[in-house]
Parts: sequence; structure tokens; C-alpha cells
Amino acid sequence: MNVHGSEFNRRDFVRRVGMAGGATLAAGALTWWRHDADGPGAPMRAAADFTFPDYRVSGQAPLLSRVLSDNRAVGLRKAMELLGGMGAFVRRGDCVLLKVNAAFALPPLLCATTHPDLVSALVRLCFDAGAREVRITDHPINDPASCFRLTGIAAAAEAAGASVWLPEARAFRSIRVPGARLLRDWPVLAGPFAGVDRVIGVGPVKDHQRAGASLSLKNWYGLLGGRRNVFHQEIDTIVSELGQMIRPTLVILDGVQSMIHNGPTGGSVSDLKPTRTLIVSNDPVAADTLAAGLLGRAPSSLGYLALAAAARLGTMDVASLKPRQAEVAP
Amino acid sequence: MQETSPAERRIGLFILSSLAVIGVVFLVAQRTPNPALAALTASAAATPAGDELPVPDGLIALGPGEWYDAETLSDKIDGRAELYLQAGFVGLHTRRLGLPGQPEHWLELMVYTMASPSAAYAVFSGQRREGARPLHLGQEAYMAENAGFLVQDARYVEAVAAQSGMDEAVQRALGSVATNGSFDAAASPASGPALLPAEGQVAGSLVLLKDDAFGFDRWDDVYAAAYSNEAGRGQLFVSRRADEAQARELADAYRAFVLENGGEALEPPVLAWFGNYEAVATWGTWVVGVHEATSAAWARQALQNWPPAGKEVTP
Repeated sequence: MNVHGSEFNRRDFVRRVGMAGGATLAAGALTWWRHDADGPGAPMRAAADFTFPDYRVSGQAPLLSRVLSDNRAVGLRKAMELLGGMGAFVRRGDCVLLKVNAAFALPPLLCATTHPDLVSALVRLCFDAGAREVRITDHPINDPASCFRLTGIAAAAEAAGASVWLPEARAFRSIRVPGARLLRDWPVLAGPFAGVDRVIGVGPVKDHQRAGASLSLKNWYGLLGGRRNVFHQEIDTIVSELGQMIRPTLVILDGVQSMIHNGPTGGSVSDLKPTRTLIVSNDPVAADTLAAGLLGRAPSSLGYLALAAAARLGTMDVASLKPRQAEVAP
Repeated sequence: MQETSPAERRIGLFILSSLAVIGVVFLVAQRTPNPALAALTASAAATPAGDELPVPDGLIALGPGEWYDAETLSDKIDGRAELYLQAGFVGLHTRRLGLPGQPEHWLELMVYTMASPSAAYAVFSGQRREGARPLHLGQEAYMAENAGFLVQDARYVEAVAAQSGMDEAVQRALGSVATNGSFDAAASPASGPALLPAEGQVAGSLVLLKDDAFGFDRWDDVYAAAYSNEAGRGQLFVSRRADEAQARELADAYRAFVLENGGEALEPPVLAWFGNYEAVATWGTWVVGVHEATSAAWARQALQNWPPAGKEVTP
């Protein structure tokens, strides 16, 4: 017995120190086991819990129009008129989402992003057809607020009465595309799509360093979250899977000025060629097939097109759609 | 052994239970990560203190600069990042600059630091725009519509304006990161361009091909330029190798490549290939050649005119 009157002895002391030491070691081992030295660099994949609805107009035949014009607003109006008007795609009371290309904080002069004139015209057409709400969204590569501001897209959209939905962390959900190899449990920008009835993809016609071309199917890349640049190594597969991920109501390709060199960012007006063409279609494969020619490319040179066609996302046989064509006087 | 009191036992159990609950919460939370963690793309780092690009006189800074490294370059320029990464990219400084009181008139200055002067020249020459107007800045520079481009040492610089008609501002931005220099390509630290004759050279055609030149995967660090005269046109190219043996071996390999891919041997050193003509020879450690000439005679003459008059070439 020690001087304080307890029965504590050396054996008890050793036992308690041993237990405390063992507990400390166990805690340390557990910590070391759970420690991730790489941090969340690799995509942290949550179980998929979201899919995009099919936004196509039920029972609608494949349609495509091509208009030659120097004026985007006038050309778009004509292109829609050839397809029966926006009312053939947007019903009264619909909520419409426009997926623009606002990827870079670049001025509209460079045609690397959706042109604000086209955004403005498209928003007005949607409201004229009776849409109750029009939303604009994208998940840019550069800072979102800067991108929407410097491209002129935000100002044009808001002036026409649309709302701009910037990507927020909480707006992302995990998606798994059936049959896809790459888009499995991957974060996508889903929040702006809540309550949306129609989706229109609208973007410029551009050369692309990796994919060969940036057209309507590649436009959906802007919905991906995470370290999406990992997919650059399999660009054809990912673009094809993007087409499976989302089936839009309509796609619009702006080839009034096509970026034929140094895409997707360009940098000089000399990278552009005045191809004076707007393409509108509910078949993104057909739209991209036709647009490839504006870049001087054979459709067969774009690997993703064949994959998309094989996945029945559309047809490369543009002639089978009996394209409706017109030229608008300047 | 000392007995623990009931109170001590309850406190101990409470602490242990709390720790166990905390541990379970962590485990559960880690199994269901918020996709937002992966959703947010990496943002550019702020330019390190003291490392900001200068603000030229007459322009104002529109916010802080940005810095991108090899990991984040694609967050700025997407698929074009590969062009720089393959050539040897080190880092990118950017800054937006504006004209005072004119919010619609702004430009972005981008300074790419590459691994070497030849890497910088490769990305500069490989993206040369049409309609280039030479500028007397840096090692070599030019204006295209709404943008200016420059190379100096291991840096490749772009200044891209949001509006046309901002040439002066663009040049001022370029000048803020370069020194006024001779436009003479011979002043380049890479001597290849200096060994391509100036006479008859198509303006703006000089390019450094870092790899895969003309579809031949062994052609790297090849300087090439286009030439045109009354007798025909084609490209003349030069490449310095480590030693004479390597130069000879590479020249032979290129001839074999052409012959294996549909070429036909003519009087040496010329080969016919898909309606055009190729030729390749060596000069010490230099490989010299002609690509896509419009006639065999033109190809032969171009080689005979090398090295350029007045140029001292160390074989």
C-alpha cells in the first residue's frame, strides 16, 4: 500500500500504461489506415442518384435547318421558321433551359463562346412561344462569374428576361449513364435542370485541339464536374457518352463565324472564318455532321460521331433528314 | 487493484461511447462523399506575391493576376494545354488590363514560361496567325487582328484584346514583358532559323517542329520555312543532331520512311512522293532537306543553295 492509502502497485501501473499505450497505438494505426495522402484529387464518387429526363418532343421526326446569314438573330429566326417555329418545340408554360458555351472568360469577338446576340434572340423566341421561364447555365472552365460577364452572355440573357444560373457546389449530383464506361458515378450540374421542361444546347462551331471539333455534342461537357480533364485522353468516348447522358429538345450551332484554327480558345479574329451558317436540329449527330464541313473536316475524321451514331443518338446521313435551307439577305 | 468508482466508470464509458459514435459518423460520411467536393474545378492560384505581371503605362489592372502550372493549365485553356505541355511547359502568368474609363476595352496578357528558348519558339511558330505584321519587340513578335504575339528567351507571350482597334494597347502590353529587340532571327539563341535563307522565304512561315515533323516520328527539333520563286515552291528544313553519325543515320531513316510510304527514288538526293518531291542531305551534324517541293529541280537547287551565303556553318 502506498503512502496515499491506495492499493496501486507496480503491476497495476504497468498494466495501465500498457493499456493506454495500446489504445494510443491502435488509434494511430487506425488513423494511418484511413489517411489519404493524395487528398480528394481523384474523383470522390458518390453513388449515382440522378438522371436527366428525355427532353425531346415526343413523337417528333428528325428535323434540321440550315440558314446562311451574317446576322445571328435574323438567321436564327429564319432557321426556326423553317422547322415550324419555336412553338413546335416549346409549349406555353414551359420552363426552358439554354445550355450555352460560356467556358472561357473571353470576349464575344473571338467566338470561343456562345455569342450574346444569339442568346438574346433565342431567349426572346422562347418567350414568344409562351415559355414561362428561361434559364441559362454552364459550368465554365474559368471562373463562372467572370465567364458569364466577359462573354456578354449574362447581360444579354438578363436583358431579354432570362435568368443566369451559376454553378454552385450544392447543384451537383452524381450520375451514371446506362452502358457508359466513363460516365459512372460522376458529378454533373443538375440543379438548374430542376423543373425544366425543354433543353436547348447552343454553341459556336469551333476547331478543337483534342476532339477535332467542338460542336453540339461536346457542348454538354460543360455539365460535368470533378476533374473532367481526365477524360481528354478518351475524348471520342466521352463526347459520345455525353450524347447518351442528355437528349435535348434542340441544338443550335453558330457558324456565322467558325473558329477554324487554334480552337477551342482561339485568340485572334484571324482564327475565324466567316462561314455565315446557322444549323438547328433535334438530331445532334446530324447537326455536328453538317457543321464539320464548316471547319473543312470530313465527318469521318471526328471519331465521336461514329460512336454517337452507333449508339443511335442520331444519324450522320444528313440528307435523310431532308434539310430545310434558306439564305437571308444581309 | 484499485477499484474504480461507479461515477468514474460511467464517465469513462460515456467518453468511449462518444469517441465510438464520432468514429462511426466519420466512416459513414466518407462512404457517401458530397459530389460537390469533386465538382468544383481547381481555380487558378493567385500570382505569387511580387511576381505579378507589370501594368504598362496608360493601362489599368482589372483585378489580380493568375498563375497556372502544368496541373492546372487545362483549367485555363482546356484542350490547348496539350500543345504547351508536350513542348515543355513550366507556368503561365495572366493578367487582365484595361483602358481607363472604357470598360469595353480590355485585354488579357498571357506569359507562358517554357522549359527552353526552343520550346518557346516552337509554340510561338506553331501557332503563327495569318496576316501577321512584324513588331520590333523581343526575339520575334507580330500583330494579328486584335492580338499580339511575342517570343523571347523561354517565354511565349500573347496579348489578346476584347475589341478591334486596340493595337497600341496590345503592343504596350507586349512591350511591358519584353525588351525591344532585333527582328533578325539570327539573334535567336537557337541558331536553326538563322540557317534558313531569308531570300525567297514566305513571310511568317518559319516554324520549329518539336516532334513528328512531316509525319516522321523521328524528326524532332526541325526548323522549317516555306519558299516560293518563279521556279517553284516548297519547304526547306534543317535540324542539328548530336553528331555526324546520328545526322547520317537520321537522313537515311527519313529516305527509307518516304520509300516505304509510296515514295520513289530519283537521282540522289531527290525522291518523288505523292506528286511532290523530297530531298535530304547532311552537312556535318546538320540534316538539311526539302519537303513537298513542286519539282525535282527546285528541290535539288534548294539544297545546293545551302548553307546560305555569308553564313558560317559549323558542320
